[in-house]
Amino acid sequence: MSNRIKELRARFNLTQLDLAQKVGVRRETIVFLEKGKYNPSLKLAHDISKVFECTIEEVFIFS
Amino acid sequence: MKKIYLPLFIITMIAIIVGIWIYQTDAVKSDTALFSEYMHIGIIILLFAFGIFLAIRRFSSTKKGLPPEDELSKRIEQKAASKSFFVSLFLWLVIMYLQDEKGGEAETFFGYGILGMALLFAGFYFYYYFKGNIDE
Repeated sequence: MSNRIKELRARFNLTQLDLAQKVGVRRETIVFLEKGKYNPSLKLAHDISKVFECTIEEVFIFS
Repeated sequence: MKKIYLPLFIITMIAIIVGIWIYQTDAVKSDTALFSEYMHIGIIILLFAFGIFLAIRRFSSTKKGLPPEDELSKRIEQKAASKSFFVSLFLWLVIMYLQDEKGGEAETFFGYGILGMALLFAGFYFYYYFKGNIDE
């Protein structure tokens, strides 16, 4: 599973720390997610997509 | 805030106990210390450094307004704990074999086992912390 977190984060002008604070996780978790080293829980995926005002499928790409 | 103070309290207590323990070992008191005694102290210092590493991570996260623990850190801890428990079963088998072969005090071998388990946990923790892909 890949994701567009880095791209969307740049579009929304958010740092990794900002995004981590908004979704209530540690910054390392955002780093792991962007590198594709971690598959988030459904709740975290939902929270991240809510920050970027789009659906889970638009952020996380299931291939 | 309680989530931060509890690990700090535990680490301080462990530091005091380890300090007393190291001070009382023969390796510190005598000049003719065995290699294994130095190895024990080395492992204890490594484990203490691991505890400090975890505490610093928690503090730095809290300072930035982030939670001290989240789903990834909990999963890394759980995965490291389960793997280290599984591998430690074999470690205890080896220790039992060594005690049968070499003899010696049971307390010493218990000490090896406990230190080994803690070292395994720290090793697996760092492995998953740096490798990621914990779902595989």
